[in-house]
Amino acid sequence: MFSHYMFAYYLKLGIKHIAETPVLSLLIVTAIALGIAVSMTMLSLYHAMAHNPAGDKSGQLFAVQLAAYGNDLETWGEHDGLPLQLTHRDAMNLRDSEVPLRQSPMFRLGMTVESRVAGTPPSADFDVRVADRDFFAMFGLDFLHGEPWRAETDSDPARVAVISQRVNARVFGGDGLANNVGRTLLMNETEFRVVGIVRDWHPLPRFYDLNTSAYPTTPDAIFIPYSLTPLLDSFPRGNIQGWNPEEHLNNFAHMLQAEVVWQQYWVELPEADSVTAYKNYLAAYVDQQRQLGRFQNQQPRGHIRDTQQWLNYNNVIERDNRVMVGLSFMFLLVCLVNTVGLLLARFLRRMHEAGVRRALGASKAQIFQQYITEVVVLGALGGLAGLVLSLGGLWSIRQLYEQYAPIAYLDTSMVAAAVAISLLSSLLAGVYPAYRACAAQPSLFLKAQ
Amino acid sequence: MLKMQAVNKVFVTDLIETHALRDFSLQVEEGEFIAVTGPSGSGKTTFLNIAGLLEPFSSGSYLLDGEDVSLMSDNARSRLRNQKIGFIFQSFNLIPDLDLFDNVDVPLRYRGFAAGERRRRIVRALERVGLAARAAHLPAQLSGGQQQRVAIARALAGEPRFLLADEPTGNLDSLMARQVMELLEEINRDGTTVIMVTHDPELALRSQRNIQIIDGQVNDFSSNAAA
Amino acid sequence: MAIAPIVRSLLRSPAGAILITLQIALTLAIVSNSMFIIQDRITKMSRPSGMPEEQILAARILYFGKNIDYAAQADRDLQFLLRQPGVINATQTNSVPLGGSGSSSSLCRAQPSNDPDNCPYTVGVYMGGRHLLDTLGLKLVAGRNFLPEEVTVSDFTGARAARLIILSQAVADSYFADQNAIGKTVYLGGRAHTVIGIVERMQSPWVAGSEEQAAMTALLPAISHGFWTHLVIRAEADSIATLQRDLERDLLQLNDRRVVNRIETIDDMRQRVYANDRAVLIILLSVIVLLVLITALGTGGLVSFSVARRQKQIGTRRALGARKIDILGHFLLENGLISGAGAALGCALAIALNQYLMNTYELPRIGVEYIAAAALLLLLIGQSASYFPALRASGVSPAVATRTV
Repeated sequence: MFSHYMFAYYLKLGIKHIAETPVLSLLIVTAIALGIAVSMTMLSLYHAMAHNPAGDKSGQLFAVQLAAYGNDLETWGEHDGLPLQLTHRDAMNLRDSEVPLRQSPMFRLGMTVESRVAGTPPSADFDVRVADRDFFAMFGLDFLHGEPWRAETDSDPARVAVISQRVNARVFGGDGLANNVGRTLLMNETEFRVVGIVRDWHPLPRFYDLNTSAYPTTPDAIFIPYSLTPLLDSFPRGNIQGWNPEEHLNNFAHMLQAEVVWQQYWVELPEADSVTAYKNYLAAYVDQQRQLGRFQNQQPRGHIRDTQQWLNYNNVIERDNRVMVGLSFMFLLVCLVNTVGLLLARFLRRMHEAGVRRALGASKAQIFQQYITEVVVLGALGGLAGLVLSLGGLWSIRQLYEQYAPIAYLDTSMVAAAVAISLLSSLLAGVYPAYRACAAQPSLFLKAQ
Repeated sequence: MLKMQAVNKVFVTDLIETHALRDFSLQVEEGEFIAVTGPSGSGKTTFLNIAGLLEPFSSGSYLLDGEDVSLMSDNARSRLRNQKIGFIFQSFNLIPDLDLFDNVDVPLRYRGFAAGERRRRIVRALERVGLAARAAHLPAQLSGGQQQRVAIARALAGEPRFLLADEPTGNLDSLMARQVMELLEEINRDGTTVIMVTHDPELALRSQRNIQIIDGQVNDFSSNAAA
Repeated sequence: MAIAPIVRSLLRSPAGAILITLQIALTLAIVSNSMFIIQDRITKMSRPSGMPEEQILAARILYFGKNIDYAAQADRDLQFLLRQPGVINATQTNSVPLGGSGSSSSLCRAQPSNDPDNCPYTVGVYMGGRHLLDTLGLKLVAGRNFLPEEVTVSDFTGARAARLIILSQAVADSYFADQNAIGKTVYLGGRAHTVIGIVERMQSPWVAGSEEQAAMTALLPAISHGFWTHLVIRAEADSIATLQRDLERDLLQLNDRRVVNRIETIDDMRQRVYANDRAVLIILLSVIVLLVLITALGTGGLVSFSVARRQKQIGTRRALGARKIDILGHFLLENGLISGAGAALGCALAIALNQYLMNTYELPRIGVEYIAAAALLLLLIGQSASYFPALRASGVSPAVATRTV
C-alpha cells in the first residue's frame, strides 16, 4: 500500500505544497524549530551534567564512606547517616587493606607554583591533588612523559610531582608537550622533582571529589604523593567538617589526628568477589574501631558506592537544571499544540483538493499518507533548523555558566535525540489534522461553493 | 425612490479598463417588482451591487429614498443597507456554523434591537417562510429550497423597503424555484419593492417590469405589467 | 456584541479553538511560573548585604614564602593602605559577606546536646579585630564594638580563644525573641560567648539557601595569621577603582612571596556568586519571550486562516449591514473568548505546575499576582495577534457576497 513509488509521489506533493504556502510553512517550521532548540539546549546540558566520566570502569570504582562519628549521635553527615568524606586516620588505616586491586585516599590543596619563565608571575590557580600512586591507573590518566612515582614513595615520602600539560607550559614554557621529567618544580618555595607529565585531565562532573562543586572550573593539575601529607602543613581546599563541637583544630598536625572529615577514598574492585570481600573488610574495620572506642553512634557501618551510584547520591544535577529541563519540554509541548493548529488550518484549507482526490479514487489511507508525508518533511526541516538553533542555545549556556562551558556541547547521541524527537513530535502533531482532512466526505466539498 | 442617474462603473486593472455600467439611469418606484435580465457579463450583478450599496461607483448619482448615496461613508452605507435593504443571494450565503435562528438574527444584531424584539422578529420571519419548527437546525441539514427560504426570512426580518435578489432560484430545481418565486411575489404584494436579477425569461415575464442590461446599459421594457 | 452566537458557533467546530485554548493555557502555566521563579531570583539577588557596597574592596592573599611573619606583614600592609588617598579604614578578616567562602558553625542556646531545639541554626562566622565593623560599614544597633584588648590574635584558627560575640539582628531575634540579647550567653563551638553587640544586617558569605539563613551571622574578636587571609578596604567610592587597579602591584611591592587575587568590589562578588541565578533568570526570560512569540505567531496564523476561510461569510455579514468595526469586533471578540477560556484553564494549570514544583523541588507557593499578570499578558498578546488579520477581515468587500464561487 505505502509503496516506494507512492512515497516519492507524496514527497513531491508535500514539497510542492510547502513551497506554495511559504508563510504558513515557515510558521510551522519555526514552531517546531524553536521547540526543538529550547528542549535540546536544556536536554544537552542535562545530558552533559549527567555524564559519567568513569565510563567502562564505573562499576569497578567505588567511593568509600564510614559512619565515623561518636557521642551516641543518632545521625550525622548525609540523610542516610554517612558523611561524604573520611578522617585522615581512617584513610591511613584503610590503605592497609589488601583487598582492592587499586586504591587511593586523596584531597585537594592550594599551592603556589613559580614559573621558570622570566616575567611569568607565581600562580595560585592550579589545584594540587594529593593521592597515592594508584590514582593514575584507577582513573586512567594519560602520561605524555615519565610515569607515576614509584610504589615505595607511597610509604616512604619523596618530594615528587606529576604535572599536567598546562602546568608544564606555565612552569617551563612552550606548549606543554616538552619532556621536562627530572626538572624541578617550585611550589610554596619547596622543590619537587617532576616524575611525569600527563595530558590535561578535566573529567566533569569531577566524580572522585564532589566537594564544593561537581563542575569545578579549575581542574586538578598537579599530583603529589599522599605520603607527604604530614609534611605539608597546608590546609586543604574543600570542606572540613566535624561532628564533635569540642574538637578544635589547633594546627595542621592536629587535624591529621582529629575527628574531622576532609579526605576522599576510592577503591577499585574489579569483580563481585572482591566487592563482597571489601564489604566484609569494612565491617570488620568498623567493629575494630568500635572496640577502640571510636564510631560510638547508633548506626556504625561502612559503605561503598560505585561511580554511578555515587553521582546519584550526590545529586550532581542541580535543582535549577532539573526544573529548566522540565520547563523546556513543556515549551516543546506548546510548540506542538501550536503546530497541530497550524497543520489543521493548512489541511482544512485543502479539503477541496482532498475531495477531488477521493472522488478520483484515492482511499482515505492514501490521503492520510500523503498528508503525513508532508508533515514529516516539515518536521525534518523544523528539526534541522532546531538543531542549528540549539547550537546557538548551547553557546549562550557556555557564556552564562562558566562551570558548564567545557561540557555544554551537542554530542552524537543528542543529535540523534533531536532528530528522533522532531520526527516523533511532528508525526504526533500531524496525526489529527491528517485524520480530519481524510475523514471528510468528498461529496461535501465538491458540491458546495 | 431609487433613482440612478448616469451612473458609471469602471474596473481598472493594469492592462485594461472595463466599463461595467455606462451612463446607467434607472428609476424604481415604491412597491414595484422588477426583473433585471441580460446576458452574462452584461453588468447585472454590478448593477445589483451598486443598488445594494455593496460597491461604490465611478461617477453619476444615486439617490436611495432621496438620500445621495455617493457622499455617504462606509458606516452610513452599512447602516442604510441594514435598515432599508434585504438581500437574497444565488448561493444563499447562510453562515454554515450558525443555526437558522442565529442566521436570521445576524442583521438584527447589527441593527441593535433588544433581545425580545429580535426573538419576535426571527420567529415571525421563520414562520412566514414555514421553517419556524426547524429554527435549531444548521443550514447543511436543509434542502437548497429550504435554505433559500431561510435566506428570505433573514432578509425579511429587518422589514426592509427593498429586497434585492440575485438569481434567487439559480441554484434550485423548478419546483423549489416556483415556491421561492411565489414567496417573493407575496412579499411584494405586502408592499416591499423587489428587484430581482435573473436570466430565466419565464421568471422575468412574471414581474411587473422587466429591464434588460446589455453592455452596461438599460433597456427598459416597462410594459409587461399585465401579469 | 453577540457573544452567544459566537460561542455556539465555536462549539460546533471546536478543534481550532480548543488548540488555541490549550496553547494559551500551557503558555500561561509556564510563563507565570517562570515569572515567579525570576522574581524569586531577583529578590534573592537583591538581598541587602548590610554594607555600603560602593565603598568596599576586598582581596585574598595567599602566602607561599616559607619564612614570613604574617602578623608583621599584615601590619605593614594595613599601614600602607591607610595612607592611600580616599581610604577610610582597612582590616583583615577570614571572610567577607557575599565572598563565597568562610567558616560556619552551629550556634546553641546551651551546652551542645542532642536536643534539636538547642542549636537551631548554623551561622556564618566572621573573625576580625575591632576595625572589622567599621571597615565593612556595618550598623551597630545595640551594645558595643570589641575593645582592642578583647581581640585574640593567634597563628591558626584564632576563634577558640574568643569569649565575646556580636550577633546579627536576625540571630538575636530568633534566639532571644523580644528579650534584650546584650549580656546573654550563646554557645559556639561548644564554648560560651557573651553577646556584647548587635548589628542590624550582616549577610552570610554564602548566597545559597533561604533569606532567613542568609541573615544568620556572628562576629568573633579573633585574628588568625596564616598563609592566607582576606583584606578588606573601605574607601570613598570614587577611590575604589584606582585602589582596585593598583592593589596587586602595591602589595607585591611590599612582599612578593605571595599571590594577591580575587581583588573584587562587592559588585564583582555579586557577579560571581549570583552567576547561576542570573543565568536562570536570563534563560527563563528568553523562554518567556520565545513562548509569547510562538503563541502570538500561532494565534495570528490561525486567525488569518479563519479569516481566509470565511471571506464569503464576512462579505455576507457586510451585505447584511455589518460595519467594518463590527467585523473587526467580531474577530477580536471571538479570539477574546478563546483566549479567555485558555486563561481560565491556564490559571488552574499554573497552580498545578507550581504545586508540582513545590512538592518536587521545594519551590515556594506562587502568588496570585503572577498568574494574573501572565493571564493579562496573554490576553493582550492574543488581541494584538488577532488585530491585523481581523483588520484585513474588516476590509473584505461586501460585494464578495454576490460573487459565485
